[in-house]
Amino acid sequence: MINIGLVKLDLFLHGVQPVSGWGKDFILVLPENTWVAVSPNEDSPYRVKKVGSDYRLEFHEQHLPVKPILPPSVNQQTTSSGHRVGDLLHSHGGFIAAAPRGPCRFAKSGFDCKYCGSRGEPVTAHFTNEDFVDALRLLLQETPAEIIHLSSGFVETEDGGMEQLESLVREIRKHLNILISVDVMPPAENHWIDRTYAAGVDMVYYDLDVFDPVLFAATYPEKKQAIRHERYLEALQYAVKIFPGGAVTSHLVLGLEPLASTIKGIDVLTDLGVVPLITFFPPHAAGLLAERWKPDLKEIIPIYAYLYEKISEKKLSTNWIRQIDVVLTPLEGRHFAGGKSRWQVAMKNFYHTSVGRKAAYGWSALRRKLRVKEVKD
Amino acid sequence: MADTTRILIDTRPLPVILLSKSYRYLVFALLIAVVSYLFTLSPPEGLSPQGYRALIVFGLCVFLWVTQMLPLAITGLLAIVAPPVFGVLPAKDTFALFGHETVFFILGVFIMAAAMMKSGLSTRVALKLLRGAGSSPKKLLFQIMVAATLLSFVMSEHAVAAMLFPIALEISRALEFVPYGGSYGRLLFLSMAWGCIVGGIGTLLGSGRAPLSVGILYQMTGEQIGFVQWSLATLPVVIMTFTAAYFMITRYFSVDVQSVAEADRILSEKNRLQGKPSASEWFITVIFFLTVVAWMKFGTKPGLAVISILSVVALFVFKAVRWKDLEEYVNWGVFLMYGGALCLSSVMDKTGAGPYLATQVIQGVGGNPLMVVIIFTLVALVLTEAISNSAVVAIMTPVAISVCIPLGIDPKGITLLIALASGLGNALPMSTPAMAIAFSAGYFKLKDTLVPALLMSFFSVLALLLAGKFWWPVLGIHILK
Amino acid sequence: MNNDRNILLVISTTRESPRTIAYALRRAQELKGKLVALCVIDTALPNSIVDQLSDSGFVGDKPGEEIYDEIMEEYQHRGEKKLAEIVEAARRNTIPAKGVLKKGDLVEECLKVAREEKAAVVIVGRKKMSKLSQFIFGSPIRKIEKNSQCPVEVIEE
Repeated sequence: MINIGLVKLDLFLHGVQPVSGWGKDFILVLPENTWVAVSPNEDSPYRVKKVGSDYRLEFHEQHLPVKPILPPSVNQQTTSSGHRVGDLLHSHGGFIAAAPRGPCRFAKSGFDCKYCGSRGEPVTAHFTNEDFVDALRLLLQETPAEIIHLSSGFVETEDGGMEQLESLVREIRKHLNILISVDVMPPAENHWIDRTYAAGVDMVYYDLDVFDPVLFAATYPEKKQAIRHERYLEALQYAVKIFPGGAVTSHLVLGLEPLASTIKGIDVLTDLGVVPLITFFPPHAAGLLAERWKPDLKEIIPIYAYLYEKISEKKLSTNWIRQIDVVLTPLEGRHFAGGKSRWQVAMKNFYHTSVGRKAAYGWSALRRKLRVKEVKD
Repeated sequence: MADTTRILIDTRPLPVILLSKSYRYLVFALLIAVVSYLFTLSPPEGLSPQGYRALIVFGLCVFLWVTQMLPLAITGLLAIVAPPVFGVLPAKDTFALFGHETVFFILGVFIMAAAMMKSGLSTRVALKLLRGAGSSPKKLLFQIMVAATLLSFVMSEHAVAAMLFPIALEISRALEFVPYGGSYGRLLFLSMAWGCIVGGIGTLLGSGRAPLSVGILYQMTGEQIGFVQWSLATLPVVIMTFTAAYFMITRYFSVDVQSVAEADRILSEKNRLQGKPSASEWFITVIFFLTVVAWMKFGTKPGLAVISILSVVALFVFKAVRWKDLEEYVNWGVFLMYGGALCLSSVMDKTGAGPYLATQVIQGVGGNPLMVVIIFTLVALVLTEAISNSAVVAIMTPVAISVCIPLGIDPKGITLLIALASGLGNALPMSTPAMAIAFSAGYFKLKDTLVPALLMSFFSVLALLLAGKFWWPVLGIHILK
Repeated sequence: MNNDRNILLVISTTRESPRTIAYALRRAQELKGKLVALCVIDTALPNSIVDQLSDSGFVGDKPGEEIYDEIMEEYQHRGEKKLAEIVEAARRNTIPAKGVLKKGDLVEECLKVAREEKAAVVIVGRKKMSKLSQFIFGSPIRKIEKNSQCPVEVIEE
């Protein structure tokens, strides 16, 4: 019996042999609707083979049926004002990522970020919110998606980057029925979190990346200077009261700290009601991670299993974490914990359908309408 | 987002929020369901299908008037259209009832009051009545009560309270009172409120409920209570309740100031600033007096309403008031509320629903006429603490009249009792606008007035029953025949 | 004197709060901060009177507006007077203080001013109510406690 979760992690680590005509950015959809963003690697033990009209992934004398998701052709299209869609948006299938106000920290250090789509070089000339919505509309026509994920990048302002994104969020809300998540710094004051939700954001990420406060300061001195480590936890705790259950997340990056510290982070975050996302970025040759660790799946798998068990124990919703191709989601951790989670899996698959997308959006909009009161002075 | 907009996030459980936002619609849905269900049932024995449906419509309107889930006036509209919708009476009959002369009488009275307010005549009269108290605190309280009472004889008590409030505020400032800082501040506003309440029952002009009750009586029985007869019937009640109120104010509470000379000075100054009456004020005064005389002499024929409207026309002929002014001072909802109430009472009577309900009530209370009278009076007094006076009259009068006839109780008597009792509720701030206005000044808390108001209610019932027993028969109104 | 520590004292025109005021002055002294006295003129009561006049009393709009203005003017006058008294009492105790007068909903205005003034603590008085009464009648103080970004100290009068 092939462990899908293990295959996904292994694909992160080793990539897949290049496929002619597919380029270097594609996604494979494994069984149980498991999405994986893979990088081409000549030395990978994994290869994709076409069998009739279907595809299968062959590895170690085994194989799995897969479905490839190539970058949408609309990426080459331009909006009415001349911006290329692929420069503004990064499609992960059901999940579209963008860094509209500037590259993330990872991209700033010169690498292309697979997650938010930030590029090492500056993207394009200045674009307006209308341009962005135009591009998004074009993309959605080809690739229906459940959620658009906006990153603010690293900012040092009190609003955590939300002030820059707010007008864009409202513009998206005005024109499109899609869930919106933001990846921002925790704001200095909680009313920004209220404002984040009121603007139309459905899900929020305040990424600790490193749970241990000392290592946090050492790894991200600029972050530490901009905002205290404790403030992350305060903001997350407050956001849990405002956002729907399971819609408040924080990334913890494997390898940036001892795994025991990551486990502790899982404990603390799940106790707060936050759904941790454990990211496994295979160390880039020149990246920070390369200095810190050499990934061993045997060590990593128990982390994901533990995360799954904590999520189940705390009864945290996993519905908000859509099939993210670059992360092994908490729900996918069931493959390592022997869990079935039939209901959560069914819901995940339901939200991937057209009806499910509409239901998710509709419910979120209703919730916002009931909870938010805008008072004019 | 504009900088002037703030965000508040409601973090209560979603079902609680949903319920709080939608309970009104749920109640309406439930109401429709209940009414629909009732329509599927067979009428009880002794009641025609038409009467049964009339009873359902009546119940619906009672519910809406008591809960005020719809404005009173809109429920009044519903009372007009519901009978034809449910096959109780044809539309032409219900709409014809809407144009009852009582409604036009009330309208005319309200327009005249509006003219008095707009021209400043009512303020002038109030200030005249208030001056001359000198330094005597009790005398000032007495004069405030007299002013409120007398003015409420000639115009809506609610409008009188609204008009006297700023004067009372100015007096309290002149005497340097602070909220909850002493007793006299409280007494100022209580005098004002209780004076309005007492005066409001004195004539047919002090509120809409009085002519409404007279209109219902006429519609159901053909009997009338004229302008003079009403005023005479209520006079001893007014005197007794006025006396009790003044006694309560000056004895139950302490008069903790020595002199109100400063207030007297302010009032004199305000009087001086009034200057001479304007031409409009003179016209309005003359027209009003002529109107009252006409009501006394010709109240039966051509009728109160005709005189009332002719007076309104005269106001415009002499340009004593402009149409624009009326729009600001007259609430046209009165038409709808009272028209609907009259329509409903007629529907109850014509379909037999009223007499049927009466039978049930009589059986319920054992058929003792005196007990019935007392119960209706007390219920009106209690109910009016919680709901609008007009609604109390609209709900109780048709039922009471239907009850009275088989028991040999004079419908005039019970009509008077209910109308007066519904006007004398004064314990709670929500019982009448006059109390709410007085309460808003911040000089007394609810618990300060509860006991005295309950005592006042007791005196009011006593006054009513004494008047009913000894005075009304002199006027040809017998409670128990 | 740490003028960055603002102590927000919330009073209303419809209630006396002598204990709350005294406590706030003591707190301001303890924390060596500045006292910001906020008086909120609650518009709910005058609005309800106007509604009652119109809906039940069938009085026209103009008298309703006039009485609304009268009540608000009176409340404003009282509010200003109260604030002046508090500021004067603070001055006598060498506590820097200022008065802020607002109209509107008590909870909303309190939260807004707390944010604007960057209050370190909010002090508010409450009439003694049983827990059942609080549950039935609701409590604006509870809403302030729940939504405030700084500690809220409630004094029972």
